[in-house]
Amino acid sequence: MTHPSYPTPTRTADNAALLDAWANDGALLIQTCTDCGADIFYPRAACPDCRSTALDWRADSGRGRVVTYTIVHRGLSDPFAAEAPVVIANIRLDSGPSMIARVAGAGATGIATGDPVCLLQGAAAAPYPLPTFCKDAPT
Amino acid sequence: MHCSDIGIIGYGSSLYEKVPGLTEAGYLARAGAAALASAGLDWADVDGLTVSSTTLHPDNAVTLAEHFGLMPRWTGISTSGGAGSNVNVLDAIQAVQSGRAQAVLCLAGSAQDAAYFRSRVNSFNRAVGDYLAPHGIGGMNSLFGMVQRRHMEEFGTTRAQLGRLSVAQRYNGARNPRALLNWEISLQDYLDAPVIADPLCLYDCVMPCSGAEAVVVSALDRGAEGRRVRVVGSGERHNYPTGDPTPLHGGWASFRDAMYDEAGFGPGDADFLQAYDDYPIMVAIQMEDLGFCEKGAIGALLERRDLTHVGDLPVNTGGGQLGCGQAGGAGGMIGITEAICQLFGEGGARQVPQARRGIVSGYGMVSYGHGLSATALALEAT
Repeated sequence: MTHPSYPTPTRTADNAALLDAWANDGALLIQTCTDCGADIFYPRAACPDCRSTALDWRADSGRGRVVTYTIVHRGLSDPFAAEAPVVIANIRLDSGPSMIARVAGAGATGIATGDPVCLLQGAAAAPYPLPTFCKDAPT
Repeated sequence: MHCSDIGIIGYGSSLYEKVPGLTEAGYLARAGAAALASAGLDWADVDGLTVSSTTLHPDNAVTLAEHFGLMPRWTGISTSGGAGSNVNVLDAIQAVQSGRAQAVLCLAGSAQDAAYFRSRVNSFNRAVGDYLAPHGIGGMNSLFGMVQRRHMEEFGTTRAQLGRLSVAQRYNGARNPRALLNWEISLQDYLDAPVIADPLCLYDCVMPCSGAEAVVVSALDRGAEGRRVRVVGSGERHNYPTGDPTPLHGGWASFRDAMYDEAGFGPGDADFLQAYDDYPIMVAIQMEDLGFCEKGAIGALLERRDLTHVGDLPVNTGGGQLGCGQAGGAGGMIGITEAICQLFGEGGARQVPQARRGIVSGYGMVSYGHGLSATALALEAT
């Protein structure tokens, strides 16, 4: 289950599918525009490329590469301070869109720009309220 | 905007405090009184009021007018964080141009301590609260840590180069009586500082504090000789660029050429730059985007130029937020008040010799990864 004291996203009509897919299935859904085909992250009420409100969701592999990252040692609020260092990365998914997410699991602090990452799986993923990544074996 | 007969005729600041001893209105009242005194005006002359604050909600410019017993004919409020005071000044000039007000007091400030600051940065707006804070981002540090690493890896920029900004600003701030961090640091101090959000270390980060800044906008002929500053060029851009949460450029690049055309001078002619300095990497990116050098070339520029108030490229001549502290919304106006102080020739121990022209750059409203708002003013003493 989600870590009891992590801050959690406010569940809205715009993001419920994303949050449910991650919480229930450990899956990453990406919002898409059915008019212009754009991938959208973070979830919106209207497409930021064409303003269409005809939006849908697609499954994503959750595989991507690190564009840049930081390792946060100080200045974290509770409960994250006890988990320092926390690794945060800008991840470009292999399917195109970029997102900022935490990288956790074994070897996270040894990450480098360009490294492949994938979604955390199973019990390791459960504490995190948003899709969270780990180092992936190089392909 | 290029306006020859309306501009800024007074500036002022409150005290700055690490732990707030006053309410937000208390800091704003003191900064407002100082700015009015600088302009030779009185509270009774104020018929327009703007405010930029990160902590004022649920209050606003109108409830602030009630607090101060003012009856303004026109008010404005910022929606663009540290870029907002530049917008307030532009709006105030237009309000005077159109006759909706004659003397506008533009205020900016906050009362906050470190604990309040930490809670606020996790709910700065919905995107931050919903999609960043749940990851444990550690406030804005992690976002700009990612930007700095990308700049370092893409362009070869080094910490020793960026550190020259922090060291120069602390040199300037040591000559500013109200700077909270009013002692100099060495480049070695900068390099050896504790890691916060790698590659950001302690002297890359501003210290949250409390305080306020203010300027008075009116017809320039209401100001005394030598105390009249024109806005001769400006730019404003929001949500630029889109789609990349950690971009290495911002909205300044989109408007700088038009701003310099309007102003009739360029970055090489400015006597100083006051840039929004939440982190040295963002000062560096503003300098690139404002045309002080090509994109990616800032490291070499920082190495060869003297950035102190007596140098060949004075930057943040009062110490900026890195030297004075970041008093919430005041951080977006500290560059304006410092610019006016310099153009009035009242910089004292930190005066830039013969300062006639300057650029003030604003940056703010961090949302999903980066600041959405970029603004700039080109100023000229008359």
